[in-house]
Amino acid sequence: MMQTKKKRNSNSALRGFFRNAKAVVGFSIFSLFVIIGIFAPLLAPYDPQSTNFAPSLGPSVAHFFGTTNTGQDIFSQFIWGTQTSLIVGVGSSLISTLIGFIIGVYAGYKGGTVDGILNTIMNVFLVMPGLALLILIESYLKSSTPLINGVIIAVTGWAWGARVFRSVAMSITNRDFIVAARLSGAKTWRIMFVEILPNMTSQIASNLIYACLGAILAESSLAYLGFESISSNSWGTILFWAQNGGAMLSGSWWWFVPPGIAIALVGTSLALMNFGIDQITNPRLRIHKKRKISKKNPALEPSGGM
Amino acid sequence: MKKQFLTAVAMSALTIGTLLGTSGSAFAAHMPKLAQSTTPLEVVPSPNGNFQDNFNPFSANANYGTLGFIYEPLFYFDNVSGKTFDLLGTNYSWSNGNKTVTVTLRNTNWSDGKPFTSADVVFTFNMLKKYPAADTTGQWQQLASVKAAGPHKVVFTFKTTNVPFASYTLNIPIVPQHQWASLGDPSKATMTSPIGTGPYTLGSFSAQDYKYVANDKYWGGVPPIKTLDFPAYSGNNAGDMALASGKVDWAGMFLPNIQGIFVNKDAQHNHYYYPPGNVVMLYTNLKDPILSQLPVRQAMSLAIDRNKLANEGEYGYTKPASALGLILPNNQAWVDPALKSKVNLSYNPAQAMKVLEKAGYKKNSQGIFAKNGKPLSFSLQVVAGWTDWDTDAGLIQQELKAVGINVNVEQEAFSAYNNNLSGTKKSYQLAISWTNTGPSPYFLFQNMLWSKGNYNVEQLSNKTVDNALVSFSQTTNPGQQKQDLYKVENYMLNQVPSIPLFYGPVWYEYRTMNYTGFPTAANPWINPSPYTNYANAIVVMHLHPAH
Amino acid sequence: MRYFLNKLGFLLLTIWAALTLNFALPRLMPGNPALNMLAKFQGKMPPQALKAFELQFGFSNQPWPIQYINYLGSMLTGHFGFSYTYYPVHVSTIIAQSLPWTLGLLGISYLVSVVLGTVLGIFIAWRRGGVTDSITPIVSMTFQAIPQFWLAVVFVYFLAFSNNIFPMSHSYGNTEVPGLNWPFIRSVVYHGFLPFLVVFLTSVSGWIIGMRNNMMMTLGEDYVVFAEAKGVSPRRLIFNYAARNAILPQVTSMAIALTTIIGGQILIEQVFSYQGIGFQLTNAVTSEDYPLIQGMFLIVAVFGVVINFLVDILYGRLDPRIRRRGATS
Repeated sequence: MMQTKKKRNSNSALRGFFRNAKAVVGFSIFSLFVIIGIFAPLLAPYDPQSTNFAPSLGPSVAHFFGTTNTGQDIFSQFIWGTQTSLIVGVGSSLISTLIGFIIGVYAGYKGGTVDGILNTIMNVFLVMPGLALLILIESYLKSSTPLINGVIIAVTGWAWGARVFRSVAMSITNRDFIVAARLSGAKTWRIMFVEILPNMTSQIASNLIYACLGAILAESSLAYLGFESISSNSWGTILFWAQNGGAMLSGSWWWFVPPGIAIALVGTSLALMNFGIDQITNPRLRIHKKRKISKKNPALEPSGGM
Repeated sequence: MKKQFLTAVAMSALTIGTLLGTSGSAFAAHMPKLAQSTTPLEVVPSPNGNFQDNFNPFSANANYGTLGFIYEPLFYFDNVSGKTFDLLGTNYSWSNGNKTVTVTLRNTNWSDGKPFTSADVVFTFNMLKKYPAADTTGQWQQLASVKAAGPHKVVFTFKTTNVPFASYTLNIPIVPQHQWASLGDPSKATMTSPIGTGPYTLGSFSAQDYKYVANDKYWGGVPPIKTLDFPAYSGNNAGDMALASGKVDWAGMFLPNIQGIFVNKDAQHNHYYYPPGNVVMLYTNLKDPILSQLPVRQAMSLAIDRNKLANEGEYGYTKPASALGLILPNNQAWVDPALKSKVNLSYNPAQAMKVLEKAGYKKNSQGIFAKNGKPLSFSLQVVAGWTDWDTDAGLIQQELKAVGINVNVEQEAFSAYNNNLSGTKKSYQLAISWTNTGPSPYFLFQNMLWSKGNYNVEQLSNKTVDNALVSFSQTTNPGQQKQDLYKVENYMLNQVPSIPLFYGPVWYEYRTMNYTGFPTAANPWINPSPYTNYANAIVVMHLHPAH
Repeated sequence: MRYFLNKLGFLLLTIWAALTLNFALPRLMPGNPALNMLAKFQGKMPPQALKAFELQFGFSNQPWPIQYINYLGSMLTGHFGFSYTYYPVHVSTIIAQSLPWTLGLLGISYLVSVVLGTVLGIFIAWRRGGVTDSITPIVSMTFQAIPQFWLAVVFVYFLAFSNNIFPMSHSYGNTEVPGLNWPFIRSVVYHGFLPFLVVFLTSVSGWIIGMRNNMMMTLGEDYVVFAEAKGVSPRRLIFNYAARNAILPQVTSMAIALTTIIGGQILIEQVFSYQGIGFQLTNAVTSEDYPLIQGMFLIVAVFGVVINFLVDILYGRLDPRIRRRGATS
């Protein structure tokens, strides 16, 4: 496979990103939620845990999303839940991408036995059913917090990224600038982070996005199954309490619909951004009136998410 | 993963306790003579997921209805009404200084047509003796012998006098010798083709559904319903939805907002009532140097708004508990007349603070009461996932905080929680937990307050209480028994060994679209839940088609 | 052959890893759940059974390597122990009873989403730039971003509970007699449709987009461009030239996507009270039935690994280059 050095100008990549309609829409939606998350203390009208309101109210001006059966304001829970879920999503994706990067790139860069061992470990993690593994771990932990769950999700889910990083690292390990760096006596970690990393920004971005989506979905699943302590407040815990409080059966759609829609929106926004990144880094995916033949082939496989 | 407190009720039902105050009582189930209806009765005792093919009455995990519809004991002692129902026994009497009980048996047949005799009863008990693993109620720690006195008479002799214990003995399911003699250890058997004396036999089994079919030769008459259908639902929405959509006739489920979800869907036919089944306590570890001080416990009791717990944490499905440790109105007959006016617990935060101040406590800079530099700060254990108690714990935390007592709620996995509370070494300060009950308050007190009680979580060891409980167990005289329990009630009221919160409800929903005759709030003649062993069959025998 | 042995080795290694995880987790966790768990069943369970648990979890005073060997021995001989919730029923009995349902539902929804997704991917690549090309990926992506349990609950509510179009739960009607009879089969299909739909909708996106992207890549390859220049018709170009090769990467994705689908199905079974492994697993978690949890996890893991193995073998057949390269991919 022919590859040329792609230390691309990051400005042009960014410009490409913002010229892509899908990416812009995705970015806007995601930013909106980030803003909600950051300003949660200002936006939330009430204490999300306070049980001082009349129970089981429908939506009103005082309570946009109504109240729970114990008299908590659902809108405030939603706002704070946005913060928690985004922290879990972003935090977990950063951790898992970092682990995946270190293991994947190290394996791909070193090759040989090191690669053999690390690759096997990677594959073991890949074929373990993620959620079943999480459930197994959580069944021993019981009421953990969303943040701990985020870490567990990252620690069990890093192999997805590692696989991609490894293959990219393998393909550039023998290129001139890496060889030169090695010969000049640069330490391995320096080569990994300074020389190799800039050449896989699109893969890293793509992985961050998928890991974030995976973490948000996994965290909500765990919360829905009741693995999080009652004092935690994420989108998943709202769904757990809605389910627990019979929201469906009593037709309180305002209780269980917003978190589900929010997760779907954040997820879609992430997918849209990833779509954009794919099209920028992978020119063949773009629709041209006249197809240009490109020699570049970053070989981005479709990623299945968590 | 909801409302796991239900499990607790079912668990305490495993150690079902019952009392024999009055001997030889007979409350024969009234059996209507009506044509049998072929519409199946849909029963969901508890939404616990898939079934396993096991109808072994000595297995704690046998499918619902094994005890009752298929297997019967000699007598059934109801813990809601306090009544005794004759099943395979028709009469029992005490003799030999209350060490011997003689039971007259019913003349009936097993469902395969073979006659039921005293040999089966003797066999059943000797089997438990041979295989102690199946003797989960410890019969042979108390029994000296079980002997037949003719084909329809059995004599039980106990090592020592313990009248209430006989209620466990007479509650043991009787199995046919001709089937069980070759089965080996009954605790290890999975019984898939049960032969019993009850009103039903096993019709069909699959993991998601099993059916009982009527035993038309039942001694109590032809069962009014041909088929009882038990579908499996998960604890989440599935069971609730099935009930709400009218697919279930009789259930023992917890449902949030039952009025809106269930009753209002068909107010004419959909009903529920939740009789109190046990007392949920805030247990205080009396080995803790601070919690052993009476004013601290009194202050906490005064500072808790039980109405709020009952209405918010428990969805309004229950009522605040009595100060005496009694379950009211079930135990109304046992209330000490001198304490009639003190039955209700009051919510009085101001008084709580006064009690603490009087005991020498002063608020520190954080607003927490302290004495000798030690603040009133405790951990409170609840089970993670038992969401109603988790909510209650949060409310108690807020309320105690308001009077100056700090509480940290600790949610534990059930196994850890159970180990902390009922293990030999108890590591907790405060905990919300249940009480084990029986047809008289003796059982609750004996389990909770007796120094050797099975559920003496607070670790009380008090001579007065012990003596009163022992005295109760020696007599069959109701007057004497009452005098004994009055002493315990007084102790509960004045010494607050643990803090009663509210009653644990018996879950019970019923739908009168196809069948009527269910127990009602106006006529609570028996524990009405389909998960209550033995009572289940008695209830079904009282049903009749709605049209 | 070497390729096959390599893959077989990996299969065994992964199963060993799952077994070891089951062994290690209870020992790594704080508060020693195993001892708590034994305490929980004291009195309810005969001493022999407790002894069996101790053996199975290895909570004896033996040094852990010996515990480990004993544990592996009992697992390999199929002794998964007793379930707490269903004692004295063996965990293996429960697995045997639940597995067919999971395999059936999973197999069908998986195959349908792979096939339909791939076909759709080819189609929109053919009509690239058109309306379907711009809408389908986004719609399918939105479904992928919805939590599966939430979609399942919403479906149950609107299509089963409120409108009674589909059954709310179970895998077949309670009046049917299981067996090879038409009413039973019809009932199974009817009951399985909603769970299937949820798995399908939430997993088809990867196949559509993956296939579309593969197609676009392949359409850029020299040989396709050359064929186009030669005047090969667009239809032939798509199906005979591009799709054939673009499908290969889909096969590799199959194995990996499977683990995701298994995870999702656990929750879907729970919502529908569908009598499979996932339903048992979540219920076992609720009742802290650790032997059952471990057994279920193990069977789910083994299942995933075995399918992965089969797909690898299949892929090796489809693409001889892989076989020669060995097992390093």
